[in-house]
Amino acid sequence: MIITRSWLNEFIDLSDISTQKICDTLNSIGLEVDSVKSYRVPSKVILGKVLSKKAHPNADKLSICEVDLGTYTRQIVCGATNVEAMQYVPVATLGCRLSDNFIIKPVKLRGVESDGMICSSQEIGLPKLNDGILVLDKSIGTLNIGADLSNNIVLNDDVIEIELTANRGDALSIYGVARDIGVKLHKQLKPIVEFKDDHTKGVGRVLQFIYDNDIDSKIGYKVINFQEAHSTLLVTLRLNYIDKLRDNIHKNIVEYMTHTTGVLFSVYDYDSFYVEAKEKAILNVKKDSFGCDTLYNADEKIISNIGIKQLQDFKLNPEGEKIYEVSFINGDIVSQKVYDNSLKSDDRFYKSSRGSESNIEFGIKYLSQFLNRCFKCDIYAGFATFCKNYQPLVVSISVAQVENIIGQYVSSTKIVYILQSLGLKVTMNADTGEALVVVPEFRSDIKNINDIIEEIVRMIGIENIESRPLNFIEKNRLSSSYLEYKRDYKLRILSISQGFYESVTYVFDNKELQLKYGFDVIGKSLDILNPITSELNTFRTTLVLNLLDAVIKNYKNGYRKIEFFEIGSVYNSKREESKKLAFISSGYKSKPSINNSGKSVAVDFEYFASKLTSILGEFRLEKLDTIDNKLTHPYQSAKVIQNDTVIGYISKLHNTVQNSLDIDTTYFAEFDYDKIKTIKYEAKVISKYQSVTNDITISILKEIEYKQISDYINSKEYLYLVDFMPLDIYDPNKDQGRVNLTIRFILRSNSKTLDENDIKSVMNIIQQDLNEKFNANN
Amino acid sequence: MEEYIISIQDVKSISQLEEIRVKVLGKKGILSVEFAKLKDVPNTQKKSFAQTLNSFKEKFSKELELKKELLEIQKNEKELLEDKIDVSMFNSSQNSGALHPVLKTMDDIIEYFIALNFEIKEGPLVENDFNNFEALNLPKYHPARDMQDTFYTNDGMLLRTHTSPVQIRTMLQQNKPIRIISPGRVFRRDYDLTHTPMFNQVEGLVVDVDGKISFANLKFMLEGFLKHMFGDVEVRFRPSFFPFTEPSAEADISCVFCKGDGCRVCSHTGWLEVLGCGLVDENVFKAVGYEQVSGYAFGLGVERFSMLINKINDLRSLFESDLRLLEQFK
Repeated sequence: MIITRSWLNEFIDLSDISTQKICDTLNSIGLEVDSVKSYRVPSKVILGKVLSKKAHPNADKLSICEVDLGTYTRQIVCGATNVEAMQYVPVATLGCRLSDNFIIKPVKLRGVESDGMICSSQEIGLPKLNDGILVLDKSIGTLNIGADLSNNIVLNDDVIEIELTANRGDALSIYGVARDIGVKLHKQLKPIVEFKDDHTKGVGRVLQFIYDNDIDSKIGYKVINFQEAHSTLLVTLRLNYIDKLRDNIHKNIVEYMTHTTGVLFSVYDYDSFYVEAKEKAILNVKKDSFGCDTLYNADEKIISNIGIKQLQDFKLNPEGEKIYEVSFINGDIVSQKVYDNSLKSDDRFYKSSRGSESNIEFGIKYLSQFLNRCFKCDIYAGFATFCKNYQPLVVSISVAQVENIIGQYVSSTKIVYILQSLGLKVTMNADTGEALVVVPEFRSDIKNINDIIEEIVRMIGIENIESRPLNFIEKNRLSSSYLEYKRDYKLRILSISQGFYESVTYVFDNKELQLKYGFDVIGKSLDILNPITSELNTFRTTLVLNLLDAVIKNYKNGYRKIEFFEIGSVYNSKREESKKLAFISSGYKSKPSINNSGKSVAVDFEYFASKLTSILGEFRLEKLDTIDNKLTHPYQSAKVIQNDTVIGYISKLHNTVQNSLDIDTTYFAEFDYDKIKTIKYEAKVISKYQSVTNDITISILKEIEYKQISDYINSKEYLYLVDFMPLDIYDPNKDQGRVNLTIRFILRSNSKTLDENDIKSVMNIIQQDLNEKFNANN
Repeated sequence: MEEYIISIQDVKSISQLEEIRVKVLGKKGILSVEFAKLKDVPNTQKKSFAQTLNSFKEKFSKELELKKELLEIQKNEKELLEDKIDVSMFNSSQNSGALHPVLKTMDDIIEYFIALNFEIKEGPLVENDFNNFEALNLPKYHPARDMQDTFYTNDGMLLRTHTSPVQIRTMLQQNKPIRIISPGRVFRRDYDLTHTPMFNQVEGLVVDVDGKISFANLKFMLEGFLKHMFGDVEVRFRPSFFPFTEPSAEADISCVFCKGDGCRVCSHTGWLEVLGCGLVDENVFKAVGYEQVSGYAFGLGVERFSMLINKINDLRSLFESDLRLLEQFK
């Protein structure tokens, strides 16, 4: 919504209010000011009248004009083709500074003296309105020759753009904004100078308005006969500010009237409705097949849906008889119709659905006086109208309720003043502090007490409401979500301490990539209907693809050590949401530096897995039984197991994928967040006695997995054995199918220091068992 | 014998010193030899003979000790010198990662509300129309639905456009009093300089008996919050409109870049819009079957906060896992 200071001034006296104050006030009443642009005509630009024009003897494109500047006349050479005698024009006189380095001086143009310059709109600081010079007319005020145009209030205007919220249809016009700001500034609206309707012919003589009684609109028609019609500077300039300048004078009038008054206007050529036999124009408004109020002509042709759209775009002659329409329809009714029937709509729907001005008679009055002032035309008396009976909404409020909701006392006098100024009718019982509020038709946004209180809050100003702490009953609010958040936080801090950067990526993914790499995909029936791009056309089913994408991008940016983690939602093929935690490490373990003499080493399995234990706590790894997706490496991948539960997997990126993406060695892992163990600490008895370390080397077949050996040792529950681990693996005779595996055993007793015999006896049993079980010596 | 004391001065190492010590004080050292002579010394001279030897021993031992200390200090110093490194070569940027600036901002936001006894509530990202729109006073034909471009799924669900559905879910599950914040990801079908299809929100909801919660309470809470987040800023409230609150307001802070003088970031207004709030609309309460209650709600975009606090100028860069940006937040 765009307003200008001078336009607003037509309804409310702003002579003693600065533009800054207007903006502050608009902000404080909820009409947020987006921008302010000031247009100023430079001083020494004065109103002149072209007395005569003659051709320049030495230049085809120049004219020599004699210009009346009030107390004197000057000869001015003008290059514009549209300059004519008898025009009123802006003249930059000698000494006028039009821009920083352009000062008007007496000059000779091709041998002819020129004392000043007839200006275009841009030259005097206005937007471009036409080619050539700007021609002034009385729409900007009385044309006093010699007047300083830097004082003209129409030409020197401040254009204010307001970001209007969707509920404030009542402020979608200059009049509406004036009404609103007037309350806050304690200013009454100026009365409209009424046009005396004394044309001999009444509208009824030339127009027959037929309507069905079930229509929901208020409609009025006025007939005007235009002898001549040229747009006026005022209309052109202001429509230019609001970006609504159209190619036709009547369309311009409609735009101007609608923007000024908030009433919805339309215009038709009288001839389009004229029925020869009746010697009248016949307009018929009734419901169409969708139940929308619709204007038909005598041939049953649909002309427009009231408040929705105009179907036939008529050619409009500037002159001749025109039918001007004013209308109002309740915003909820049109919105519902348009939504239910998926109807197309045009500009007028934007206004009608948000709530246009309901006082159509005001619209007609404003139109009449405006046309009478600015155009040579005959205005037929009266207007043909139908008004659906409005049942006003009545809301009861009380001073106490207002105090409770705002948190501050507001006097009944103040409440009554605010509401009445805004056009609401209030009957207040001063003794009880209770009041009935009648909501006017143009405020369809007001439906209950809170809506009314919002009006009061706007006008008293939120800055005048004193902040107050709330007293509430304390309660344990450590919900499971909070505990999960804390757990997240701990994992995040651990992850960054291990060198991972936190990544936040879209919950979307590219379905083709998911299929290509063998990840789950969402069934079509559950997938996104209106994705924003093909790269984000489905829900992600893994975090890994997004992290891999992060690696690719950063690799391209020159990074050779890239480590990320993300905690986020993913979906399974049934679109069930779950939370995952994923990691990726790519490139070097550490950047080349003094510490590694500039020689970086690529990440490896041990490096990556150790970081993950530092974050997730202890886990063990087992070979992946099945390869889920095509990113995993067949020989460097594992299930990650905590508390006998598989919590996720870890893998080297498959070589072919790594090569095709042209990135460094990469490892990744993904975990089910809910399965990661939450540690319950339970202390065991601490032995006072020293532990003993003893190593055993056995020769085993290469194919034997260490897991088989460890499972076996665990199952035996050897006395004193507290821990064991693989220490070394050695292949003495390459390709003989056997290797030497050294295992370290840690023995300890809770009751004594182990002596040689204790140790020997346990170790002998272990050695014997292992030899037997894994055929170690053969 | 005095030459032994003098020779100590020339010793270069502890082992050399030890050699001299053994030569003089050892079992077969010269002092033992001299003391052995004592028995042959006439009685009258015994005393002075012994005294001479003892005073020599004392003087020698003292010199020896002094020299030893000196040599040890020298040895120590040499060893320390061998350990010398150039500490200025240390590079601390090697090993740690960093939290994402948006989630770090989210942490700071959550911290404030936890301190004020709010409960955290979360909800699913895929929502139904009722929880996301209808219950929040946004009927299908409502012009305010234009404000939000929504992702839909083929089975008629949608990706939540705000975290407000969590408020609806909470009110359907619990009774008053309610005091929650709901942080989380939300989605709008928009992608340009100032919009991404996903972003983070934190919303708050406080509900209690009718007449208890006022606009003044809301103002108090948010003023404190904005000062916690942005430090010493001015806070202003402007009336505004949201379908789910009435009266509604937007909160602005004085521009953190120009301190209110006007700059490009604040469009020369001196103010930055940072959150929306209001008293809960009675239609929202009706939708969840609440009667005789009052409450306030507020909501904010975490990315906007993060961008203002961390002076990040491109919203989209936040979702691109770009180390050039992220490594600045170590």
